[in-house]
Amino acid sequence: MSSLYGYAGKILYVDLDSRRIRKEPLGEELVRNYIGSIGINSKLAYDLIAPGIDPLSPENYLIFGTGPLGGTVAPGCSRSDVTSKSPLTNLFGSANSGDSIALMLKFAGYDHLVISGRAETPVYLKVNDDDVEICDASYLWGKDVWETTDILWAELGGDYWVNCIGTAGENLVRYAASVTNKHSFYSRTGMGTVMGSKNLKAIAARGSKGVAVADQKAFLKIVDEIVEKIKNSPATQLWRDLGFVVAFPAYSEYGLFERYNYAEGFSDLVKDFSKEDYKGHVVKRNYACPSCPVGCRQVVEIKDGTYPGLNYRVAALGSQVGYHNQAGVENWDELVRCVELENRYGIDSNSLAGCVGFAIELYKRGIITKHDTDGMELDWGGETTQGLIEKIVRREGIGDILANGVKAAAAKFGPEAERLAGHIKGLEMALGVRGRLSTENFGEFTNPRGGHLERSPSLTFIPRKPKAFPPFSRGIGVPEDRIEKVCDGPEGFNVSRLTKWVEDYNTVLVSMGVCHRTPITQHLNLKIITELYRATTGIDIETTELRQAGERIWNLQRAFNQREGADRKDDMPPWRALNESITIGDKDYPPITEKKANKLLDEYYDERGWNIKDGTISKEKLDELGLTHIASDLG
Amino acid sequence: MSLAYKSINGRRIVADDEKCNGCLICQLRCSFRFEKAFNIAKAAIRVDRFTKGGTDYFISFTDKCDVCGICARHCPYGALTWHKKGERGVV
Repeated sequence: MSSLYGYAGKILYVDLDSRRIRKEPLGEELVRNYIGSIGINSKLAYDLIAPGIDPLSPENYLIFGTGPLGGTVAPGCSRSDVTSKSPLTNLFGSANSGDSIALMLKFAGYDHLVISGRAETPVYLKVNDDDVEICDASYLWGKDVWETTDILWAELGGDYWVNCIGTAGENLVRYAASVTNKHSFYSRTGMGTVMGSKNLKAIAARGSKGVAVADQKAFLKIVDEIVEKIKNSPATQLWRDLGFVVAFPAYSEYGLFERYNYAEGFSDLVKDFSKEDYKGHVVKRNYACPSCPVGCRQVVEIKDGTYPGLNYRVAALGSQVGYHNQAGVENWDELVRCVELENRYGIDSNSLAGCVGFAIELYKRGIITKHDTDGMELDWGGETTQGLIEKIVRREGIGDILANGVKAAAAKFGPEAERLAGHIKGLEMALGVRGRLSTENFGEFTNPRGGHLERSPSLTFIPRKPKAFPPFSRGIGVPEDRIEKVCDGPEGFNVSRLTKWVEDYNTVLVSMGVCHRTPITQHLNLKIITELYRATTGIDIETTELRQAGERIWNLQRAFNQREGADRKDDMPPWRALNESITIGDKDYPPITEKKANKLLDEYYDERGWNIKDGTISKEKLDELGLTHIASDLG
Repeated sequence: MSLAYKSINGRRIVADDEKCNGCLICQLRCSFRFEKAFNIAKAAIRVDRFTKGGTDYFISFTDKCDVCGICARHCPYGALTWHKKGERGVV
């Protein structure tokens, strides 16, 4: 067992060129400055990945990591992260997942796994505690995710966890996912694509080493208190019953959902995607990630209708509603069929839905024709979506263009297409940004990995009483002298300024391994998470130091992008959001406009202490965060 | 309904697979009692989440299980119930 409580204590390095395997101790300084999971991943990625490299070249690194709370009974803390240079955005890439391979790697003795090089022929990595082996996978190449996983389970035994890529990753679709145990996705920014580029078909791991905590009594007391709150919270049962569907009414009403390739708002999602249909026809039951007392995942089981016999596990089924939003998929039956394909082929649903919706709109506007689609007629709905999925994962015809993402496809189809491309930094957006602004959707502008909300959830996605925000802000670590400006505005918050603090706080949580979903996070704050971290690790650390570690991690990810040439222009929302108004229900929302977007970014950069002119990290901020040494990298 | 149970000296633990959510909290808590570390491989209760086919869960107990009931005490989903000696239960 590790000498570091809460951590396994080692980083496993595997070079697929030389087939060299080495194990290094996890340094205490690394832990103190970058916590774990995405934090330490980010530091390793910044140090190892040379700027300007092709993400699909052997020079790229693929880094898996879990947090110090992972593997314990801290509730909802089993999430882990994989980090690399993204082949979709050419910038910082990362994907986060519960119940995934990095957690089992921790039980095998490794907090992080760093993969470099490229194998000459397909391989898989087998980790059995101290035994690490690079094995032939040529017989697995060509198999989808479910087939590959079943074969490795049959060969190795069911106590191995299996992470692999499917058809999309093999064919280097730039938003391919890396999938654990058939159901848990490292989904966004093409981490499965990087696996494919390395000829790494799978990772199979089994571990029998324990995770010890420093102060058992204090740890269990804090855990029991949080679990009790989760048990007694109405949100818990709501999420068990409905998963992410619980958020549908608010997300559509306030403009977080847009449809038909981000062209229209809507407030009536629940009509075609009713919770009654969801519970009675689509979902057999819920299930949970390790250590989670909420259980917001779903077992899909369809007994009748269009696709009888569908039966699989899926994380947060409602979050794949992008197939409806972007591509016009009509109902639950068609949607769960799309999700089945996505699971088998191993591909990110947000990017896939974005690419399909984009192609359909281009076709309907005559920007592309049957000449471009190999004679295929494109229309909103499941039939076109499923047809294009098959083409994309195999890179057939127009699928070969769409497999490179909306940004690259738009460049191919011309300026008119570029105006309709819904992405930020090259990542297809998860949420609309023209309705009501919250940290959730504004965070898509500023997230280093591009248009996704995963580190900006807060209280703001529905309107609340303004008086709710000062205590919330203090709870996540906003200092007293910033409260007035952060909590300024008609709704009780300044979205740009609050987003900065929400990002830093959520980065602390993600680096620990904490799930970002409301039924878990509503019971936490910076003080509680610091106490839990102290009890787990024995590291004497103050709330301010931990919050600053979150800020340091965020800035290092920004520096990764800055080193690649990204700046203020890459934080801007897409053309359509800047220039077209939107109607949601009976409310009209004007476009954001460049002027307003720039004002929002000015305030955000100001709150972050960055250079307002270009959004680069200031020297003072680097010095404050102990990152002075990277100033020369950033020009 | 699929039930597994274990009984020692009149103490009984009953597992209802259909209510199991696969969270492994039972394995983590159990292993912590034996090992003073969280280690699913060393638990006396096992949840097979994947390999028996389909999307169901299967709970079983190893010979090491002494029916202490810690797994039932911490199961958030009501899949495990513990009955002390002499208590009437479902078995």
